[in-house]
Amino acid sequence: MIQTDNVVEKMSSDIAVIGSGPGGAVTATLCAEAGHNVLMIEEGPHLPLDSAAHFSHQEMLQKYRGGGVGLALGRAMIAYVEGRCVGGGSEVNRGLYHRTPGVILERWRREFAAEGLMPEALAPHFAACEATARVEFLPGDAPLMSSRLADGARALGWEAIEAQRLFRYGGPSNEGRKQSMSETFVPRFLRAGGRLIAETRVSRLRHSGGKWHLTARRSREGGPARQVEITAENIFVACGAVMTPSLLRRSGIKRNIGNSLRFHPMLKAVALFDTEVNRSDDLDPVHQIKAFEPRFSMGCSFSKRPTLALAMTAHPEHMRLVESDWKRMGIYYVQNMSAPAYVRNLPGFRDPLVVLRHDPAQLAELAEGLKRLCEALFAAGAVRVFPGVEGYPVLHSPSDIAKLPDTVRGTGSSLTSVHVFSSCPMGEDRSKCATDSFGRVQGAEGLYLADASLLCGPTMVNPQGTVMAIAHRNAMHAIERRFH
Amino acid sequence: MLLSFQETVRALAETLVSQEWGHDVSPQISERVALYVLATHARMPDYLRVAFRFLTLLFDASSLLFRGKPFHRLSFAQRVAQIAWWERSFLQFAASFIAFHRTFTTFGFYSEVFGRDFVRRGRHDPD
Ligand SMILES: Cc1cc2nc3c(=O)[nH]c(=O)nc-3n(C[C@H](O)[C@H](O)[C@H](O)COP(=O)(O)OP(=O)(O)OC[C@H]3O[C@@H](n4cnc5c(N)ncnc54)[C@H](O)[C@@H]3O)c2cc1C
Repeated sequence: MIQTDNVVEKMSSDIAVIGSGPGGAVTATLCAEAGHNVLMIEEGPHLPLDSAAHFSHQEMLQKYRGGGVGLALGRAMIAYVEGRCVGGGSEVNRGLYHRTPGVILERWRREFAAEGLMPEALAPHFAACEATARVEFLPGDAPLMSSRLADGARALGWEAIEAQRLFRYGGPSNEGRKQSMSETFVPRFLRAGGRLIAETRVSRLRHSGGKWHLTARRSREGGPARQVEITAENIFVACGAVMTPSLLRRSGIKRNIGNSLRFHPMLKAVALFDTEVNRSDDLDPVHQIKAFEPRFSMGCSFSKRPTLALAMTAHPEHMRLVESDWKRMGIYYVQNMSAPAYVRNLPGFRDPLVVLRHDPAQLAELAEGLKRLCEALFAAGAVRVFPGVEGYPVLHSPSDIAKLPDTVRGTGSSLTSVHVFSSCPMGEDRSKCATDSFGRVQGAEGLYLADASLLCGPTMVNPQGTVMAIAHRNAMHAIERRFH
Repeated sequence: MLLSFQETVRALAETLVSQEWGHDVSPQISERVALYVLATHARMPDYLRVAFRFLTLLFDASSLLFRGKPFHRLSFAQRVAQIAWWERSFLQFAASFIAFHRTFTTFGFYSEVFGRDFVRRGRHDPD
């Protein structure tokens, strides 16, 4: 565990930032560099990037919220995951990187009256974040399981690209280093004199006497839990798209908070190829199919034996292939944009409930996406495709794709997600928005949001770049206006 | 006969491991997989944890009527039969309970046995 600041019963600062994921870490850094006394408070532990192997079960226990168990309830349930450690989701994710597409920004401006969200206005904020958390293309050739997806797409006349990652490649076999927050913005924040306390969960916010009072609980593994009272003039809540609305609602702040959480729900399929495509020394796959955006997008997943086994649980009778033929196998996904979900606190419980509204059209679209993904995989040379949905048949040729259902069924549908956003959207349309266009909460003095909950809707692409750029823009806006 | 949450999760994980990968799996690996599933239970959202605790005890108790023993005291063959009974149940919660344990046991098992896959080696290392 990395040493963090001394924690005492009563603490104070000019600015408190709650949550140290991409939104919180970028915001806290800019505020500290502007000369403010900043305290960043994180519920999870402060661990080195490589404290556990990436995507291992140890990493799930150390760095994921709920040990990797998160569930959006509804007629079609989504199993989702989030980070819970210093750096938040950036520590556990693959760092696939995009700037926000223009069509998405245009939709947010139109539907939420969000100001200043033009690509050219955001460009300097993306560039500033990329100067600290570096993004790079793979050096040399991509792993075959990745480039095969692109080959399949191109054979069908569909556009496919290689995505950049928040990654600095290099070293003898290009193992490089991921550009997570604990490797980039958090050290920059500490160098600027910011204070960080980990393993401390803020449970309530109260405003009185012109200041914010935060009630928090410090609980270190193996040590006794203790209460911490924190006072600050301004606060930024950056607990992630599920926990931010939970904290605000618990504190009595409810206007347009937690009514519009969105996901990128995902279905997976495992392809078995005729030749080896997956080697133990391969770098992470990076290809994505863009042809069907904004309806749905496709890409490759991390495909080592443990994750392959997880993706094959819908086909237990073929599980042994993972041991014998994993070098010929790869995991692929299709994802689209979910219906809105509610975030609500349950009396007597600490963790919030997430309830997803039913949207048959979205489920039908995802089912169509799965069929297209299977088409691409066969065009890429797959000899068998195993859709990651319980009860779905194994496909042996493109003609089998017609056997797949036209919609995704309810509870056993194997929908998962790693992207959550939009639970407290920003903009000037007061009927829908929780904050103004720059993250300031309506009707609450000195209270700002600074994470994925602010995004007006799904990003269609991997969201971390957008979360960082918006946080950067909004923090600069607040600093320039001296928080008025 | 006393019901036990811990012993049931342990028995369930060990049975799923042996059922899937045979009886030669080392007891240390089975034990580590069981500990992983227990650790996941301990971390999951609190309202789900309460529901899972209740379901686990219900699962343990459901063999009392016909076999006179809780699940965690049954023989391997009897455990396999009871898992299959819940897995095929028309009650969604029963099937989901087993699916949850199967998923985490599978991931835990493959992570224990093939954990080396996660560590990227040099280009010329043998597999
Ligand atoms: C497995 C996985 C893979 C992903 N892959 C990609 C990818 O390849 N590319 C991409 O762009 N995005 C990816 N994402 C999504 C990306 O990581 C998130 O969009 C991003 O991390 C969101 O940033 P955030 O600041 O909103 O919240 P988070 O990163 O969720 O950070 C919030 C932090 O706040 C802390 N917190 C919560 N409540 C409290 C409280 N009450 N008190 C104190 N602290 C609290 C949490 O512990 C957490 O550390 C992935 C996510 C996951 C989980």
